[in-house]
Amino acid sequence: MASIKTALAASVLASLLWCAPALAAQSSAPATAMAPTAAGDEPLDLIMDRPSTVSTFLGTVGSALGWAWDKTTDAISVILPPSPISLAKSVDSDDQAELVTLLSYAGYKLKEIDSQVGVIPTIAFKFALTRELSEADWDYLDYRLEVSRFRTPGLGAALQRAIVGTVMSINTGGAYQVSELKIQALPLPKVAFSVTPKQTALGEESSALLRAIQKTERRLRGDLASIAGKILPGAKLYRLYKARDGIIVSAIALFVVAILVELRRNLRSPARGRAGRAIPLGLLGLGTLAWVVAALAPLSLLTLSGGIAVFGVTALLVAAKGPQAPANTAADTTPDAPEAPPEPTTAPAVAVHVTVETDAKAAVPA
Amino acid sequence: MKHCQWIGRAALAAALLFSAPLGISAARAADGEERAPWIVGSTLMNPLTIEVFKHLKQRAPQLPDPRIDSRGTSKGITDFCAGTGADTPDVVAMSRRMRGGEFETCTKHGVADIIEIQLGIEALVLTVSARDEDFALTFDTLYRAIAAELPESEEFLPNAAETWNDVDKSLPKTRINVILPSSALGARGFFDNRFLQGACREMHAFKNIFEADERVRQCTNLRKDGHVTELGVPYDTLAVKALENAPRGTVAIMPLRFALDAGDKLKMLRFETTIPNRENVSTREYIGTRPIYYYVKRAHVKDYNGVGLVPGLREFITEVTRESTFGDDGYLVPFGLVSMPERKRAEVRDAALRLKPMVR
Repeated sequence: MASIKTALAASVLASLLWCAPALAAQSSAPATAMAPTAAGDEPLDLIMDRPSTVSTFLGTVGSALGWAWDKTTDAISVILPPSPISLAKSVDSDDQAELVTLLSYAGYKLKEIDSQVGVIPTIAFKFALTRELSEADWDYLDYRLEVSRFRTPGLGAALQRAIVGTVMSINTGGAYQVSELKIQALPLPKVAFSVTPKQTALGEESSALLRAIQKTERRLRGDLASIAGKILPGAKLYRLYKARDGIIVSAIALFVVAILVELRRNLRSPARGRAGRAIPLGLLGLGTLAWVVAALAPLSLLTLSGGIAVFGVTALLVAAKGPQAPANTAADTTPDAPEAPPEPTTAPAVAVHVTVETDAKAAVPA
Repeated sequence: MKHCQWIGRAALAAALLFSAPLGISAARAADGEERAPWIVGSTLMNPLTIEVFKHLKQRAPQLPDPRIDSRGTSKGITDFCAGTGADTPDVVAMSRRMRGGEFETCTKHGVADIIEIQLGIEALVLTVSARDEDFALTFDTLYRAIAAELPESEEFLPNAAETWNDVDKSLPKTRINVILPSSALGARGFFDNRFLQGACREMHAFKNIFEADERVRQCTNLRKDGHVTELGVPYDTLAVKALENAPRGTVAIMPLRFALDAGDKLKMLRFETTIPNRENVSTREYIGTRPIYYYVKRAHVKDYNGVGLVPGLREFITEVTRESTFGDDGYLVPFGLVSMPERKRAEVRDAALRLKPMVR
């Protein structure tokens, strides 16, 4: 008997499987096509060796199966948890749940969303302590809870307030604090509080690190504010004379210009020996060094402008005096000093020689 | 024989049971020598407490004069929760609600039954001269006008705003000038906690500072470049006078009572979409408010049978919760108290007169 039943069941199942494509086609066909005909078996049914009644029956079963499948998938999609990303977005949105808002006022921020998809899906939210609360923060949280009590009655809201209230009482109670809060929504609502001593090694370390960062930031800010000419080591000595910046720079400028003039005169003069050229060159080097030191030192706008002005005036004076230099040079190299002939190898010497000749020719007729 | 033993034991137990209260009473009488009520806590509530006892003395002249030590809410609650007995205070006046942690500390020290009495609400409002133009401020705009440094891309830079319009384009182009109570006044603490920290709480840069002390220090650091003026006592008179002579755009922070009293000389500004008045302060819809409380040790209350440490405490509770005291037209209203809604007052009165211990 049992074997007959099994055989029947197997045959029904096999027929269902065999008819599946036809069922699908029929389920998508117009209703009129599915309606049983009064005229009995269709020729096609005869060809396929199936009576129309069986076809109708199978069509109905197929529709029912399709409907059942749709409803099952719908039901699964309903009970499936939303994706972690959509949850995270909803938590960050402006219309976030009141619990999240209250927890943020209590110093907690969403850290993780644990979501598992399966026959029994699970969702859990983990909140971590991100800041200590001040006295005013506690009072404000108390105020928000009171306002919530008036505005949002109901069991759910009361449970949420109870969670925040528990966190509040633990954190204000003394030596302990809720370092992490895990709120499980599925499969069964549950809240887990990770309570740790306030003075743990990790907390201390994190706090010290933060303090160090903030201290460095403050120092950096202070340094940036005072960096305008007060930091370079070489400038410290110079700062002592800051009031006399203008005079010093002007003196250096005059000194350099004077050296340049002297150098020009000496280089042109064949009467000067090597020593005569080395002294102004050395002075020029010293002047340049002094100038570099002055330039490295932080200069006030007044100093700079004063220095530039003096330098400019000196340059103008030198430029005005410039044309006289060759005349003087010519006077110095008149034929009464023929023992110093120009060196033929260097271009400046040639130029000087030419000048001398011109002047000499001009002088002869006179 | 067995019956006799049982009867003997029962009699002994009954004797012990009934003698216990007598023992306690005797102990109280021995150590306790009745004394005057001792009130500690908020300096702000000092005038209110004095006024309550003044009226109480008129009703019951035989009651002893109270001892009032106003050294602030935090010190008051610490002393109050230290324990029970003649050397500890009976009442603490607080300018906020007792916190869960404080309640637990009290319980731990044997102060288990505490009667909570919310007296009412106080509020701070923003005012300008009556001849000045109206404008609306928020936590954010107020803070951006008076803070010494403002968060700018994760760092704090000096505040450079000169006019209200620099802070928000919808505000007038008048110079920023804000009159505040000096740091020594209780109202300034209220302003710092409620208004300044209220603004910082919503700013990302402040949320990133973990340590509360560091955050509060940065948040309550105000400008010293002439845009903020601090005034001492008597603050109300000085502030009203300063507003009268001040240039346009000058805003003064005022307790609600002062603002209502000087209604012809100044007007209140809209703050966070609400223009404060008694109604929205009463319901705490206006955000610049805080509740004020008395907490009484039940163990110290001398009941009508004469059991208890301190005579006059029960009368104090009754006096505080009278309509003529903390009601809409109560005698504490001129002292800055904003009464609670009638239903809330009835709840408070009911719990207080039944000496119902608070639950947190």
